Amino acid sequence: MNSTAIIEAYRRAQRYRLPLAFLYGLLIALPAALAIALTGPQPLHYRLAKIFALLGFMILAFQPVLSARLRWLDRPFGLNMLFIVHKVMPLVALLLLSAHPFVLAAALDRWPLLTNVQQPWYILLGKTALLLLWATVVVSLFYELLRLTFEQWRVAHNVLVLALLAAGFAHSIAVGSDLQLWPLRAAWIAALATALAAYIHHMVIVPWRRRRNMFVVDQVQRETDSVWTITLISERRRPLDHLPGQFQFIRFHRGRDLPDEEHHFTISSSPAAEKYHESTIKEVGDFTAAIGRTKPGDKASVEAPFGHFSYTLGRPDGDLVFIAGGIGITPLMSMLRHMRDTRSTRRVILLYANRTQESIVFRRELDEIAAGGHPRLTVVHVLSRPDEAWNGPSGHIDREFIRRRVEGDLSARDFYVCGPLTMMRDIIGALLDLKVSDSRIHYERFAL
Amino acid sequence: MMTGTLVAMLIAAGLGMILASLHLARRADLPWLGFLHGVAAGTAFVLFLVSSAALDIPDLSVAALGLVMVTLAPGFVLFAADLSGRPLPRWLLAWHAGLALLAVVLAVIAFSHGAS
Repeated sequence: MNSTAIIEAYRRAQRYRLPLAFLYGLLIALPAALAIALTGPQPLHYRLAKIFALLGFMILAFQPVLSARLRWLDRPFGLNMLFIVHKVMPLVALLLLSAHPFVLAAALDRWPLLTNVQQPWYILLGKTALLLLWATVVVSLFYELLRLTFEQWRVAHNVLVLALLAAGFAHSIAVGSDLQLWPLRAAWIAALATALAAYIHHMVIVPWRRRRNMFVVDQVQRETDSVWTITLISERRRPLDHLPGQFQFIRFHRGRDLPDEEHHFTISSSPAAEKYHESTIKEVGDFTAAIGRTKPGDKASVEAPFGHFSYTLGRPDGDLVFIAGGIGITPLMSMLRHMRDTRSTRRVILLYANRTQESIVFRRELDEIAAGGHPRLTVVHVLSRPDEAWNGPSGHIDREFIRRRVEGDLSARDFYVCGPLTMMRDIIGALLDLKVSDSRIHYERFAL
Repeated sequence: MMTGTLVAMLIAAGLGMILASLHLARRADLPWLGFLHGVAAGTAFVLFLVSSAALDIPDLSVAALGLVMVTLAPGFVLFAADLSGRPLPRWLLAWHAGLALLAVVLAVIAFSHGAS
């Protein structure tokens, strides 16, 4: 599939954003709506308690769908947005499901439901499910504070989620009077089946497919003291189709006691490089600290492409402003390389922040692209800790800096921002202050 | 039970004010503080609901409960905005804080008039 076909596929998929979002809300609310419609009058708090449980479980049942990295959901929404929903909705479910036993006990005036240990198995299972949900949320939010590695957290998360869904389902089927009605029972079973299907797709089918198209490390190149570019080629000569700025999940199979965890990295090469693709990676964490020890010939499994952070999905013409901080240059570099390879004549200003001259990645290649005229690129480096030899701008990229360096009508340009979280937040705030419309500020914060 | 509700609401409000101050002063995020704020607000919501089921609470408390429910939605939206890496919309912060404040005031008035 060439770039034009991929762009068309993404654009087509984006038309389905609203209908899909509506469908998501509808499916979550369906059992609660059926319960209200199909059962007779009930005391308000008793009904509320049951609605909380129905809504909470449906939210949890759709969580595996949101996190399964389904291509047909990435295209309309982007994994970035899906993962935000995936992180927020369990908190809504946690609130609803935590309220459920308390409101039920109050409505029935049966407080021993909460306090008595001698309970039927299905009540204990419900309590267990709630405890598992709390454990899942706390571990997910605070795995770093709990001194878990990312991989440990992921294993714990996958196990906990499965256990809590099973416990919640068994509890609800055994105790839920509404679920004796066949439409509700059917919806309930369908929800659990959907969750399991998404889980199996993510945990079994995708890894199996990835093993059928393994990649091999072709080159490992040092860019700066702590930044490396890894070049990958497909073993079966099925290179990766992607858009400039998209990212991939990689799992290196290197042996030599090196970690084989899966991580996501931006693809820094141009899609026009048809036989290979590259990721440029900075040594920042436990896993990436060993990235320089990757060797040509090492195997890698790849799941890609993902993401919406690409100028090819934006307006087809008009001036662009790229703002990068440190290793945040990688998606923008992919876009610049693509513009170079496609002989684009768009005008691009790159504001590129680094600490020192030595930490500037791709400096020479950026100069070459600027000199080549495709695109019409202006590069402005800014250093926060310049040495005495530096005669360029120093400090940070802020509102005044953008105003000074980007001439003309800011509101007519598209801004692509990538860098550390605090920098992105400040720059997006500055751009909004400068009356740049929300639709012209493009960014993607992708954190699992 | 209403005392517990009120205490949870006041804790949530206090933590919310600290969070808002940190955000407006562009200080580093404290995820655990945000989580505690949510837990306190959620506890207040649950206790309030339980109170309304188990006790004969005054109308003013019902209005406060309604406001707590309405306040929760922008709270989740603010959390989502925070995760996306963009600055939090100040109007939404103000809306969330204003509704929460009104809910606390109504609950305090209801409480001082005899709900227990």
